[in-house]
Amino acid sequence: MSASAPITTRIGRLVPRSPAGIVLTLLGIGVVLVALFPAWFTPYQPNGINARAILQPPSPANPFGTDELGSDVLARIIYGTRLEIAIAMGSVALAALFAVPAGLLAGYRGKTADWILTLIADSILSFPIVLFAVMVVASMGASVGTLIFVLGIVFIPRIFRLVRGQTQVLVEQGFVRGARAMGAGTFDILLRHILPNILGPVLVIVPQLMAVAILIEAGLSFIGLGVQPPQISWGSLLLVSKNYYVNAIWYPLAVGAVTTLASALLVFAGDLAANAINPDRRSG
Amino acid sequence: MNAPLLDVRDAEIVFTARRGGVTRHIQAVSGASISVARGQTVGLVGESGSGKSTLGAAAIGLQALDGGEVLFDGTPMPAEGSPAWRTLRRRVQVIFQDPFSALNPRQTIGQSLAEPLRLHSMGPRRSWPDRIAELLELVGLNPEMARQYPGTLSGGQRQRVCIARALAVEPDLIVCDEITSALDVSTQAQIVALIADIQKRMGVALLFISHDLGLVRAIADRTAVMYLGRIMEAGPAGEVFETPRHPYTRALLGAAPIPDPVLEARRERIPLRGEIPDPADPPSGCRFRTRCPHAREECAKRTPLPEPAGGAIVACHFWREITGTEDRS
Repeated sequence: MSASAPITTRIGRLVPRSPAGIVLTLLGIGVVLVALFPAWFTPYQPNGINARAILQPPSPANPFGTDELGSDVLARIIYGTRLEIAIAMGSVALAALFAVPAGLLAGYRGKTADWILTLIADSILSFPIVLFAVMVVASMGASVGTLIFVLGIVFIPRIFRLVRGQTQVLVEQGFVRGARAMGAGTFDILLRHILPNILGPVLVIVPQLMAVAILIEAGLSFIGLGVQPPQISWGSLLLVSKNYYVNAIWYPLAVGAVTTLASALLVFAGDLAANAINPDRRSG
Repeated sequence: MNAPLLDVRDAEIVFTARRGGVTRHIQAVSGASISVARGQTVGLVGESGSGKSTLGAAAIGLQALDGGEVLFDGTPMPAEGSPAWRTLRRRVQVIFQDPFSALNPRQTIGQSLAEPLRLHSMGPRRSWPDRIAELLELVGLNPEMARQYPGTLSGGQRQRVCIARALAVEPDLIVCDEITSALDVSTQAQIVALIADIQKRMGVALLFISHDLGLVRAIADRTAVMYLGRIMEAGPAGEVFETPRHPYTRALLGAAPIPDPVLEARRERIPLRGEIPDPADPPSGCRFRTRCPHAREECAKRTPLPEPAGGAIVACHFWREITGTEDRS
């Protein structure tokens, strides 16, 4: 009666079966490889300076053209992927670290704990992101760490509300009432009955939040509150590229298109995962 | 005889509900008593909203009382979390109405059955697979099913698993809360036959809560009839069903049967008119008076207390008149 069998089944359920799922999974693996080993994907250095090839339009050698220092734009986007993924995953993980236990507590215990935690979550939710970012940057300075912190805080209510709502539904379910009737403790019930059943919905919003993270990163870096230019992220590229939109429209366009495509694919992946993990559609 | 296994005395349970800024106090159970002897099956019948499930939950300590007391094996309900509470959680089990939500969809049947064994340290871990196979066979399921998820099982199969789960810790009392109402009719009969058979073989006591009089009649040794939080009539099942004395029981059974077969064939049925009243605003005096064909002024003024009537107890001022011949008892 080890727990290994159902975990394998659970992961097995996430193996994509639809063509769209397979394509997205391969893309996802591709993006991770790009982030880990950018040099495999481009012959150029991200900070290579070439005075003779400044702001060149797209060509077979530079599919997205070159930037103001003559570097390959595609190479810079590729090298920016790592930070992008680090920010997206880091912020969601940070949010989940606080929001999942808080949501479980609020949904399971209810009453005062629920009231206080929901109040905190709603306060965060109603606070303007940019204002919050300005305040944090003002006190901590603009950096990747600050950005992850800001995004992490911003995502807490999103995950908290989901976990709380799912927990409230599950608490009323027969198997939770039954476990309590059998003498199972709170920790036992949360770990064995509630958490495994909310893991699906939580996993589904992770790619969606990562998409939001990429967009907010781009926005905050664009206004100078995020990743600072020597470091390469899609947002910091966007910030620099906007200066050249008159003469080199492909430059900001390429950066913007990659950012948009990445978030769109993440949202789409979330939808597919939602379908795959739905217990009503499971067999065996 | 020694003390009953379960003794609920004058239970009061009030729910506070706030709707649209108005606080309502719903009297789910008001002064209900019920007892279950060792190895006995007690049927608790009533319409939905009568408080029977709430009383059942209170009987095993899952619902706090606002008055009265519950004695299990002669001792009051222990504090939640105490060692005695843990022991109690083994000795009393409950089977719920909806077998579709009663099993964790992310656990195999085997894992669900292992849970009570784990919670109450029933034997060494390596003995569990055999015990689980044995339990599945006991309820007429294939032991291979331990590897399946509940999603692949029918309602009847799931309810059998729930029965197996309740039996896993060899309890003294099982509360069956409407265990058949989510199942189709042919499956209902099988489940009732199964639980009756298990009850006989294992000598476990049952508190069988149902709105289905036929099922209760088939399984119960004693029966209590509940209406709007009060016990209207209680006694040996045969007596309650053959010679019902309370107007509510009589209405439920479609009027008292008459020994003369000719008259019996022509006997008038008293249909229950209207809905069960709002439990937040119950009728004064006798709770049943608003739907009782025999109600009179007296019924609104005084609350009828349960009084002995033959082998049973009846809570009605006029049961003698209504039943006509019972004065000699």
